Amino acid sequence: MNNYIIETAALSFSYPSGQAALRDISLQVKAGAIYGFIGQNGAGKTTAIKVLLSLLDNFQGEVRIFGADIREKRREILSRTGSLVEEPALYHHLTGWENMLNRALLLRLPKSRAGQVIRQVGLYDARHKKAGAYSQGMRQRLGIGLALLGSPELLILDEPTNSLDPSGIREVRELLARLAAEGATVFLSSHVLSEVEKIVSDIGIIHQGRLLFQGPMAVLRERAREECFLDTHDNQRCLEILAQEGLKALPAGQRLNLGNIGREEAARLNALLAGQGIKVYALEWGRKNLEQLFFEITNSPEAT
Amino acid sequence: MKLFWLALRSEFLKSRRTLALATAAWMPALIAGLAFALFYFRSEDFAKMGADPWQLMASNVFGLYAVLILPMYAMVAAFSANQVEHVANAWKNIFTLPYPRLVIYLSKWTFAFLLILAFSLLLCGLMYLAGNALAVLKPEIGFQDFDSFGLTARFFLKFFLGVMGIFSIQFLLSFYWRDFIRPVGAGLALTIAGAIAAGWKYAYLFPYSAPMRISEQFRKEQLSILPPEILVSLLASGALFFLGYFLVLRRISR
Repeated sequence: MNNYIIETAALSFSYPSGQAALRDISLQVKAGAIYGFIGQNGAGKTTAIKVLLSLLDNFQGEVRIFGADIREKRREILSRTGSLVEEPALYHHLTGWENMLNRALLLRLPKSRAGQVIRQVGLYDARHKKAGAYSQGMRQRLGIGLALLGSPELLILDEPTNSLDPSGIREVRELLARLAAEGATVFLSSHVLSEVEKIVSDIGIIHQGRLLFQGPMAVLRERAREECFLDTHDNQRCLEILAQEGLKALPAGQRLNLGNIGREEAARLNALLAGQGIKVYALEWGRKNLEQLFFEITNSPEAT
Repeated sequence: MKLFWLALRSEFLKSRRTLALATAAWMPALIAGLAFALFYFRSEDFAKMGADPWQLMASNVFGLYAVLILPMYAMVAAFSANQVEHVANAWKNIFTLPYPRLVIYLSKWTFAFLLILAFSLLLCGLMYLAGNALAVLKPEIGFQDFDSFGLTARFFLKFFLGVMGIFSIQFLLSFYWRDFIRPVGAGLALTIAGAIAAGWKYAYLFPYSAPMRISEQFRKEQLSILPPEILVSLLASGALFFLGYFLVLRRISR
């Protein structure tokens, strides 16, 4: 177990109430990866992150970060890791700058580094405002800044784009991509699947404490079969005609999903529908997005 | 040691603009100022008494200081040290720093301890200054004729040691309860109970009775630095420190 920045083996954790939060999780996060850890609320994402950060010790299995056991080398691992767990932990009575200085003091970093990071997260002009007066987005950026302060080799971020507006999300995305390009490894959790899809190189899908999928994003995309979508003036009538032909179609928003059919078959259907007086507005192919795949995976028989 | 020093400095940085830090400065100034004003404006009455004015001033201050002000301040200091993390939801965050957990806990405890020490020292020093100022401004009271401030200082030390038990209990309560009402409300109720029960023969075992009992010792001029109530207070404080640390670890392991 030494080729990964984060590696867990048969990681399980139960709360004192007996509720199992993690079941037999084996994470493998490569160096330089942006690893998206996705799951619905309550799936076990934050619990897993707390275990990785040594905030929960009473787990079963093995957790190795930078090749070392988290229980044995806690301080060494944490000194190379920056994190944001749940919402940003800010001292609201202090200014953004004082929050930065406090963390810089604890990490034995010069003020200049605090200045560099507060600029990096776009809060330099608001640095003398109390953190309590910051908007949600500004707090989130300051929280990310605090995680970045020590120039960590590993960033563990729990829902980092929470409360950010679209431009803030894009900035975070670009920032994480830049950090990964510079050699940092990023482990981030999210339930906002469309955002993760754009950032990550690798992905893990957790559902009810179980890791249902793990691998490069490209592999997940391959699982998305190409499907044909049909848009007509009367989808209901269309469904009846297709049923008479022995074809199954599923409503997909304003359109009908015809499944994985070929071009010849689509052309035949088009002619058939036109012959029946149906106006065909569009007949196009598309892949499932991550969200659709996610629901397919989490609703699969293995997931339950 | 270096990490402890950094963590302690961080506690002071975090305490900027907090009630506990401000109170450590203005409350002693207010008390000493009131004592000064009392003697200044009623100098003739005190002059007629012919008693040791240092002791008169101390007994005037200690009445309220022992029973209410010092225990309350111990509660505020303990509350404030924990509250700053509760409000920021920062406990989990500080435990992800590359610091030994004991250092984090110890620095927070030491910060609150130092606040109470500063509060006691400042009041003691300001009372000394007030007495000396009165010796110049109102020589008829006779502060310059007595050399007994040492007794007052000794009792400041005794009160400080005696309140350690209350402080440690309050520190633990404030760690567990996020709000102000429960730890301070419970502390106030226990302080009142302690004052009422102070005359009971086993009251020395109850830390909340210690300040009241030490106040009685001042009246009777019992000078011992370590009477049973102070010993119990210190032992309770030591035991609760380690119990608190154990509970912190237990909370993390869950």
